[in-house]
Amino acid sequence: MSDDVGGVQIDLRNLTKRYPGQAKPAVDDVTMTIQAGEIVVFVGPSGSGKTTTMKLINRLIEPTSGEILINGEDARKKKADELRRHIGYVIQAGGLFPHMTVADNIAIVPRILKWDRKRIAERVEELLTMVGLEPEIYTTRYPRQLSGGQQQRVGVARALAADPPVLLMDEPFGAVDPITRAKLQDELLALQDELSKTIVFVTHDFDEAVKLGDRIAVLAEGSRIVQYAEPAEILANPADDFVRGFIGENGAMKLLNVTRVADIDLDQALTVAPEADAAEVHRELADRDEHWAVVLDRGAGRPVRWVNREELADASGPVEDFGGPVDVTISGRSTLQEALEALLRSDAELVPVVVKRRYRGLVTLNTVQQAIASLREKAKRR
Amino acid sequence: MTSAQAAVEVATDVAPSPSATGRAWHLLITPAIIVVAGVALVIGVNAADPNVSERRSLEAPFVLKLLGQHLNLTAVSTVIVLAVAIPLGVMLTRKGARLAAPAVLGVANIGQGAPAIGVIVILAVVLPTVAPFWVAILALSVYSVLPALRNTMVGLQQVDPALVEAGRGIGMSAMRTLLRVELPLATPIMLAGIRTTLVLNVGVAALASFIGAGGLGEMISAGVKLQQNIVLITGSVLIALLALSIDWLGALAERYLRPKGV
Repeated sequence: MSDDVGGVQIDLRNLTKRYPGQAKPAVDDVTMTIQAGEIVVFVGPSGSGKTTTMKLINRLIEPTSGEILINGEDARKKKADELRRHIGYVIQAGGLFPHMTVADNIAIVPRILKWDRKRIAERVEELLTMVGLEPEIYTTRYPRQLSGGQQQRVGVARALAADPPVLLMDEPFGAVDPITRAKLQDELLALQDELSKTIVFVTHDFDEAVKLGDRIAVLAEGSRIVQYAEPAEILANPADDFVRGFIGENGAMKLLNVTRVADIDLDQALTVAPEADAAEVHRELADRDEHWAVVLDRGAGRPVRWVNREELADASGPVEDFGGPVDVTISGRSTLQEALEALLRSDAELVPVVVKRRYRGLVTLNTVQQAIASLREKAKRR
Repeated sequence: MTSAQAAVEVATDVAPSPSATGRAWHLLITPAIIVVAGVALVIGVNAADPNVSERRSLEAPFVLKLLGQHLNLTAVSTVIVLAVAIPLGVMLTRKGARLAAPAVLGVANIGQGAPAIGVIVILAVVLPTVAPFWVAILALSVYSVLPALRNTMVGLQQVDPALVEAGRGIGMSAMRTLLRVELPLATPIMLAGIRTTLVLNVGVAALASFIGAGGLGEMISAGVKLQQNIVLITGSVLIALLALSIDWLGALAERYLRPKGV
């Protein structure tokens, strides 16, 4: 994420929505802070009030009581229509108006804001390019001429039209197939890297929440916040059985997916230069009671060869004449799941980690296991 | 468009659904029938060799005057119906007034359910001081308000609520959402209702002659009274052809005024 934060902080204070004739409030005394420039995902079962809570922010639903502060300003004191022009809103399937072209759909808010024609045309072109649709082809199309994924992209472009600091997204990718959905999710993350909006994203799909959220708010009935934390923490240490149930059986696997190799304690092995004496290396390995050494190339510090202790028994000459080449490495940005995948794919029991082309350490099955255990431990202590 | 349709990950070309609009050449069928029937009428009348008094009733200026009256009745009553039905239909689909909808529709139903001739005659009796033209207009309006009103309501109700919420959600005012989203999307159904209203008005305007408000109905009543079958038939056929023509114009409007992309 860039340092240039395009979003603003949102504070919900004691927010309550009570519908007449219903015993329990739909949203019951919700207080939370949404940090500027973060994607916060509201996740919870149907009827948990997650969508209602989101709609309270742009006042599509008027709260019964409580405060909404957007960038410190009281949202309830503004005119609702004007407030909403500066909060992007994306719904399932984009919510595009079928009788308007793509350009007209995107231009709605700029037109309300009375931008001049040239500025609107330029903005439409810019936004379409940003969401990966060629302006020359798509400006004059009607929504039904687009695929579901394309409609969704236009929906995002429309929400971003007047460059609002806040974006509300209500299960936007619910109606597209899994492959398109994954692609749209990746695109949203890439877009967010550039824009750093404050995004509130509603979904009932926990995996989507883990993938997109800087923070996840797990909501139960009445929009009660059961847990509000970073995905890794929720996965490592679910607050209660409700959250555990929501994560599902394979929480540990999901944790692998949100943890980066650079963030865990790596194993260290003996590292040697290519011209090191083989007998010397063998002795050293025997002393340390280790089986493997990594040969790093001179200067760059890149792992180039593996040698194992048995091979070096009675050997002489430079160590680079022995062992085999390093065929698989992983980067610090890889997830633990990718590391595991690399381990299973390669013949070796260990995979070297390379950050900026330099060797940093090793990942073994044991490393992964240790990492998960220590993440759980850390989360519990918090 | 429903979300289910939108979910289909296949791009399709915009083509108006065939059931809603039909092929372009279908629009030529009605004018062809009108021309053929018109020519047949002229030939038939000449062949029947009308007598002097019949001939007087069939003189072009006289027939054109009646046609003008008929169109006037139809046009004025339709304008009044639209002026009432569209705002009323919009109001009855807003939050808060929705509960009144069944009652209003009930009243409109009575207007159409009662025999047209009865409505006209009763109004003439009840309103003896009002000019026959306006009594006829009132009767026509009461009689034909239902299709326009009901279709306005149905048209607005079938607009996907998610689209209305999307409009409000991005900061469109309620009025702007109505004018830019709801009404355009309701247009095809509203036009169908207006077309029905128009055709009803053309037909029922034939009864205006009973209270002396003129129109092509005069040819029919004169034909009956004076046993001038040629005049009777000519009047009837002219009304039928007029109704067909108006219906055809309605079809054109439905085809070309529907919003693109839908």
